[in-house]
Amino acid sequence: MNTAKSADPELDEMATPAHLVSIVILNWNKAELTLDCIRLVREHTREINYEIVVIDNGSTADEFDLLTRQLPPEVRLISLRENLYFGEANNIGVEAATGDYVLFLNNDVQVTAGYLAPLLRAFAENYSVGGVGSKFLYPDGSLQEAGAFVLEDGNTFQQGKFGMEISERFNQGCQIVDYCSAACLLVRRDAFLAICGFDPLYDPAYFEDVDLSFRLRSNGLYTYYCSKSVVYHLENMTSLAVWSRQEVGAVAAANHERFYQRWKGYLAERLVRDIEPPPLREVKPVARAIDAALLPKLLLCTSGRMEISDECRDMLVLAETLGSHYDIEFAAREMCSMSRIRSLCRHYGIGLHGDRVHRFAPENLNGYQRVVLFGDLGVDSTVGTALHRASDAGLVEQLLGP
Amino acid sequence: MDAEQTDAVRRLIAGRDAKINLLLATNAMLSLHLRDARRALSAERVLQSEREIHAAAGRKRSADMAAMRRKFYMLVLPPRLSAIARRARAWLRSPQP
Repeated sequence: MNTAKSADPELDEMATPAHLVSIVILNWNKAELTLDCIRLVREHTREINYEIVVIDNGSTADEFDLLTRQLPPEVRLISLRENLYFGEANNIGVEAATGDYVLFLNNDVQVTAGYLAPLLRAFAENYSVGGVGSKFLYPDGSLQEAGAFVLEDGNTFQQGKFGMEISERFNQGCQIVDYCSAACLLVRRDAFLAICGFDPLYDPAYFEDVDLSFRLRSNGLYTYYCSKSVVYHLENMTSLAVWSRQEVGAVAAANHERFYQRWKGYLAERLVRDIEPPPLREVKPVARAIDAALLPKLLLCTSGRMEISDECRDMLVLAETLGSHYDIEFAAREMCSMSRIRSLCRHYGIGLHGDRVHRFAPENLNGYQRVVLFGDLGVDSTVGTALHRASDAGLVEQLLGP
Repeated sequence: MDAEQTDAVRRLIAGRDAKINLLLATNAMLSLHLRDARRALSAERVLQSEREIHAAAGRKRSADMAAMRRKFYMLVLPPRLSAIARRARAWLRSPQP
């Protein structure tokens, strides 16, 4: 990837031996769009040390094949077997990334020359920056978003959309906003991981980026809109391929309610008092008295997804209870980020002991003293079939669930 | 000022900036809604005017049709029938009991 010295000394100072910026792009059955997005990124990302991480969110075999055949060799590809949606796929991308900064980039965004340097500079030039978003234009050149804001009732609006006239203030440099769309949003990787990334509360889609900005702000970090970074955004190219417009509206409405319930106190009071969003309940990891390497290994497995469900809550409660006696690992049907596990712990008020998570692999069942399974063992479940086999062989000491 | 005080001042300024931006953006959004509402209102007025024009045209058409019908009876009906019609009209115009 490009490692040339920058013409901008500030950017050089920020450079690290690894990558300065990791650009995370999701793909779901839109290989051509993704490849076009990558082409423009490679064309317009100059003088900055960067890497591209593509997460394929369980595309069909044909689409995945098209993507892999034409993907430039230096692009890192993480393949998921099923669609984990926007938040979790990006969490996985961030945890795999090596850059100090992560740029979330939708595959329906077309970057323009000089889009990245102003975003990076904003971190150096402004006070307490958590994230910086670009100016979004429609392909016809009209304004789509110059930062975005949240009303008292939790409804959001993208400033400048539908021909809205904006204050001259927003055409100059950077301004603090409530949030910027994560279609093109640069964040500090450590700050993103510190707040557990995108929250599983908002699965499958919408309001993840709004909530992310509010949680960054509750940690003392502001989200800025940078008028000098310009990108074109086609908007909803993937979500409208999954859902109809009515379904998109229903999904967004459900998440609006979740968002509003979480932040309504702050939204009601912030115009009359100088307050910032309150921090969410955080349960700190519990320190172990003994080195984890000395403890017997326990694998907690689910044949389903790691999500907000009774099954996952029971699994996390068990991990908390047994954490001082076992070195615990989690396994799920599909890859899962640690950010997601930590978000689920926050949701249920559970403090873990610094555990690990990985995608379930039947061949890796050896080495655990115990394997505990949660969930339904369907005949087609890879996890279930392998665990039944392992149970017959005496590897699994205990099976829970139906 | 020490670093802590400087940070407190900068945080205060950032908080005020954030609030000003929110108010400016909300104001811009309300202006947009107001503009849309005005446009919707004027569109409704145009629609109303169109309805009135159509109604007037309809009334005119009815009047024209009535005139044509009258001409038809005057020109086409045989004189005997015209005489009956004349008598009938005269009877209609005469004071009714």
